[in-house]
Amino acid sequence: MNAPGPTRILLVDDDPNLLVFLAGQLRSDGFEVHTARDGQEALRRLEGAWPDLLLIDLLMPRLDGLSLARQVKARADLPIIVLSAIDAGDSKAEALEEVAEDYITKPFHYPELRARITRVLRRVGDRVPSGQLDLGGGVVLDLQRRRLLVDDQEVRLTPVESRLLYALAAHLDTVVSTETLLARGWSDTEAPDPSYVWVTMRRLRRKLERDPDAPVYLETVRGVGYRLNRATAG
Amino acid sequence: MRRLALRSRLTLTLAAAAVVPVLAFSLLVLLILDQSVGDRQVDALGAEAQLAAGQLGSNLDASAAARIAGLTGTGVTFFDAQGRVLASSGSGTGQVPPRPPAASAAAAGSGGSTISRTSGGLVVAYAGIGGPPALFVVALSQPAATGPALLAPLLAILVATLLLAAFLSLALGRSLIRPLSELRETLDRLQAGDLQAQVPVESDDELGRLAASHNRLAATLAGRNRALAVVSQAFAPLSPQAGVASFSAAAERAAGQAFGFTAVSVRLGQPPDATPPEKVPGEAFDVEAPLAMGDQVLGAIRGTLPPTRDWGEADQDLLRVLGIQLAGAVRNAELFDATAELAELKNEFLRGVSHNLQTPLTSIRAFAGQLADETGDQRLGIIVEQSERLSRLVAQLLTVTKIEAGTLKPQVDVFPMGALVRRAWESLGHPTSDLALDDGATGWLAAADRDWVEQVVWALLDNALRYGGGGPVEVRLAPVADAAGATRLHTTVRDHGPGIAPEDRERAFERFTRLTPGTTEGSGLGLSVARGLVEAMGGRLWLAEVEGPGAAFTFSLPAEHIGEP
Repeated sequence: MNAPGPTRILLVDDDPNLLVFLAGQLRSDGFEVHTARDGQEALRRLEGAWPDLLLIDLLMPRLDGLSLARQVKARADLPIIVLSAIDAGDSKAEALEEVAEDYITKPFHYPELRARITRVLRRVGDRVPSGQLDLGGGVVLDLQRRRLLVDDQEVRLTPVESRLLYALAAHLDTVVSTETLLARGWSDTEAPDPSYVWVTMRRLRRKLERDPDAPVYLETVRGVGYRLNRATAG
Repeated sequence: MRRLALRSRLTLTLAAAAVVPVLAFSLLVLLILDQSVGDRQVDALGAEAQLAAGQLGSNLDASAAARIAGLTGTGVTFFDAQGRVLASSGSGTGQVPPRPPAASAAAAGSGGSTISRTSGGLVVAYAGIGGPPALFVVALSQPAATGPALLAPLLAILVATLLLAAFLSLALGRSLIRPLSELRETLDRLQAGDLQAQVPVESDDELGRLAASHNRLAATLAGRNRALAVVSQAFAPLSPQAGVASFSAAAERAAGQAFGFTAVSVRLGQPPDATPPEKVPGEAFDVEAPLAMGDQVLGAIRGTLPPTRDWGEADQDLLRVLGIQLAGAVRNAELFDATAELAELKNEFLRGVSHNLQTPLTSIRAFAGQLADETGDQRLGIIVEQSERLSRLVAQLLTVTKIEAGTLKPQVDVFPMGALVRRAWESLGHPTSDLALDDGATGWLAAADRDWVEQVVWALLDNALRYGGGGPVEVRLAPVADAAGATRLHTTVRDHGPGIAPEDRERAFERFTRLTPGTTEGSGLGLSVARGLVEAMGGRLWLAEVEGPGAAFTFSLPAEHIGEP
């Protein structure tokens, strides 16, 4: 799906020092990197060529990260990672969740950013319906907005939960291995353990299954992984 | 002195009205009866005396007296012309009649009789025998017949009449009083708040009109009460963030409902007309009240009433109250907007500060880290650590404002606590103390926001290092069942420093508190922010009891058992 050759990243930040540092690190990891100092410059660069991934700072002069992300998403489904000095829980960050694939709070360790880039790029291969996915039996996935609708009641999903459901929904009715899920959910975490997947699946079942002990949607395939099913009629 | 109750007075009045004529009438009857009985007795006695006188010869002895006494049933006495008693049958009363008056002797001569009453209650008829002038006088005596025999039935009739009068007056009094006591009971209920209480209107007299006007009063009161309830509840479902427009709409709705306006409008920033609109009979008319706050007038509320509707002083007062309420609500909404705007400005400012501090720190740390990797120079490691510390302090400041605003939302993930504690310890890069980690929570994952827990653990470890006097820092992890039966992961961080005095135990969690006087190290925010974060994740953070020297902080978090896949 990607163009042959190295993955292209457009890096947008108003701090020249960070631009220099990150560009250096990313290039040494084999990415093709272009940089921009603000949102306007980023839009001009995007007119020339579309990158595979966009890394943008949230607070920038002239055109801030959120507006830039919205404009980009309006034109193409380009994966975006936001770098920001504000963290989750902030109203701005919440607005961001709808347009960005991921975000990382400043200051960050470069390896952490590297892991998130890998994870987001891996997910680019997954495609789920951009709208809502009706699983039947009154359960609807709305992954774009990181939520479930159970009998029209909204149930919020955590970022990890929505990443796992995204991976499962992209392979509906097919088994997804525990290792794949671990990589989708926790690739930026040190020494991830399969137990994270087990426990998170159990927590997810509490959110979407009528009877978490007799799951209909999230089925365990012993020794392999998990499968997301539609509810069978009746 | 209290006056008698209305009922008693009414009863007495009626009784008096009945009793006085009855008494008077009875007396009159008694007198007349007395008179006629006396007259009849006199006539009869006189006739008998004449008859006896005619039949008697000169043999006037005791046996003749007894014989006549047996015939007439009276006492019989014979006198001679000088008034001496010749013979007497005894009068039955034992009394002997007095000697006949001179006149009777003269009269007796003409064949008549003379009547006399004695002070002893005797009626005596004298008749002359022979003559005239009479040679002898016969006297028939009898007790006066003024009749105790007649008095008794009369008294009985009188008593019965009085009793009847009393009973009738009581009954009549009650029927007169009943509507009044009903009215009183209804008024009592009205006073107690039962506005549905109605007095039955049974007649078209004064009492009936009183009942009807009371009912109208109750209906008016009930209507005004309903209006008052509507007015006082007008803004109940709204909070200040609803905005000025919602409050105006709510006021218009309430006014329409409470006063029956056919049209109603709220105008802000425009005081009411100086002269109240004229009311033309038969036409709809407008009423209006200012939106007043003290001396300030924020606008007016104006309603149109149908021509049939009355508009009194009380209605106007109620509308004025609605105006005052609306003015308060509008002012609150405006203040809320201004405050929200200020809060957003403050957040914008803090975001800017954070961005402007974190951005250079990110570069400093990145380059220092890169150089440290390349050269292995320990001093570059210190730059990395210190820039990280500075970043955390800046982040703490931002977190404080979010805890204040209650806008913290954890991004819950699952993770092993032991690994997180080790990583936090490493990021402190403190080589002089030892970490003693007792991980009793293998097989359990914490379910919380990983970044936040890292901040909390970092703050507690930093604290333990700062105040632990260089001794080892102990961290103990343990799953503990809580009261509800759910398992919580308890993390206890203990140092071996001087500890915290009992009186400082709660103060330790207050913002900008440093328990060691004169210390300026640290932000004074660490523990306060840590507690805010833990509580936002559904846990608790407290100062634990320890044996021996040192302080121990424990926090609890939701936990998940790893179990089978």
